[in-house]
Amino acid sequence: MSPRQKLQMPVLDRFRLHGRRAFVTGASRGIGRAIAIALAESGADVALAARDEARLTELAAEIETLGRRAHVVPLDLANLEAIAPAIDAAADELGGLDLLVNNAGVSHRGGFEIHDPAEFDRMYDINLGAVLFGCQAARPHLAAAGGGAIVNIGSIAGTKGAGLYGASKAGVHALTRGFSREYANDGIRVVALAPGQVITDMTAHVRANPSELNAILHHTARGRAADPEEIAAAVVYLASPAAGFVTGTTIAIDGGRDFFARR
Amino acid sequence: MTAPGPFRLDGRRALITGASRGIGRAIAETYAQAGARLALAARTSANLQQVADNVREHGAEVHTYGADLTDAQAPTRLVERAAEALGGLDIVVNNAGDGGHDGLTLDAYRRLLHVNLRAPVLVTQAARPFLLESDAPVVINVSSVSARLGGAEPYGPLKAALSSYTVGLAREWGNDGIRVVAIAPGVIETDMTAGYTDADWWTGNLAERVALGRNGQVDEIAGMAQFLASDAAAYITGAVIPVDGGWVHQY
Repeated sequence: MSPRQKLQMPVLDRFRLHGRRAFVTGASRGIGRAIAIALAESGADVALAARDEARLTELAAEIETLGRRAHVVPLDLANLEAIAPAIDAAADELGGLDLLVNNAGVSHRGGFEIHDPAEFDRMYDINLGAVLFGCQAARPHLAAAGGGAIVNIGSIAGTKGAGLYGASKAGVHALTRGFSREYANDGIRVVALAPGQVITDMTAHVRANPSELNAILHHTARGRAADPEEIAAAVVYLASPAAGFVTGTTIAIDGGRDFFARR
Repeated sequence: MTAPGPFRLDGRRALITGASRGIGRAIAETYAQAGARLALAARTSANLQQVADNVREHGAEVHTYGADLTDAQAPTRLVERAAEALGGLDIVVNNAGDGGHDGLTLDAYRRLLHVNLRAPVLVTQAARPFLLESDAPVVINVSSVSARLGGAEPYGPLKAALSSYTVGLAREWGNDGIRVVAIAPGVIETDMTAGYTDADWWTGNLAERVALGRNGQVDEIAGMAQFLASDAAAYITGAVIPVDGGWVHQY
């Protein structure tokens, strides 16, 4: 469909993903799980990648009740060599690929410190390396499908400077800009989201520490944390024809994190 | 000896990584002329000896260390040896870096991760106890314009990570009086950029990309490194300062 034809569609139809084929990493929990369900609700078939095969199998069943296909991909995203074969296999299974969502990520409890170089390497492999190698692996499939999109899940931590985790997400935002340039001629859009505080297992330690959570919410205009579905909705938009002119950028969905305290 | 002033570094104890060539070498020579005492590190010690000989001509005290900073233990060991030789540390310049043009293998990715990010982080955290004892402590990270431009290879994204680390750590260590800053050089004529600074595709693009329309020289980075290390910059922290001839958007 040409861009002009897309624009002639009624606006809500431009947000639909009917028949699109997506690959979502870190799909077993939290934001990734919400993204997978939102994509399926919008009409996409979804390959679900994560370590926890049992959770993925449950999620696949839920997606199938929505009338969409789901393909379970047991995968440790720290195993960078396994990413390309997994994406190739999923594209085979789904008959192609229109969307890659690099969502898998792990936090870093050490703040700005490296206590264990192996742990640092693992965090960077998952948060940055897997995005890099995932984009490379998905490119030929997306190009063959006529373009499509890559959505990377960055973090507001990456734009504010927050520990080595935030630094890894700053890297993701920079990769997003770079790949948007590199892949533009294939019609592939590459965008990133920078979520603020979201209620997931990964951030449970923040909610367990009221002073840490309050310090964040104090500087968040909305005064609350987000539900994963509030991030997933933006992924649906960015993946859809409605976002046809959006590429290279990182969009904050952070409830209004600011220098100034909430009034 | 030049008259003392806010830009002087007399008696300051500085560790500089990647000091055998390019920007690191220029920073070493500039610091020496500004009165600093130096610990210089590089992967290969041959060039480093020549740099050391040059700075000794300025009357500077200098210690040299061969160190492969991609090794997980090397950064901490380097800092401890340098601090012992100098009797402490006031200035840490994380300059060592690698642009990487070998194609993106897994091994290449790892090496770039380690030299461009893990090493400066390990050097910085190992230096903390010494910086806490200093009267004028500062960490200077050499990032890159690539952090802002982004890239589909690891270099730019890892420099973006280093810039982010700089900003965050400045907040974290501000109460201790430790300043943490970064310089983001543009295209500077060094061995690292020699592959393209004279190439037609680049010289043809210079006018379009860079406001000043020319490549930078290492001394132009070293000047900023001296300023940032000095008392003249005492209220600057958490800043990532472009020294890039003006990479401004076309409009």
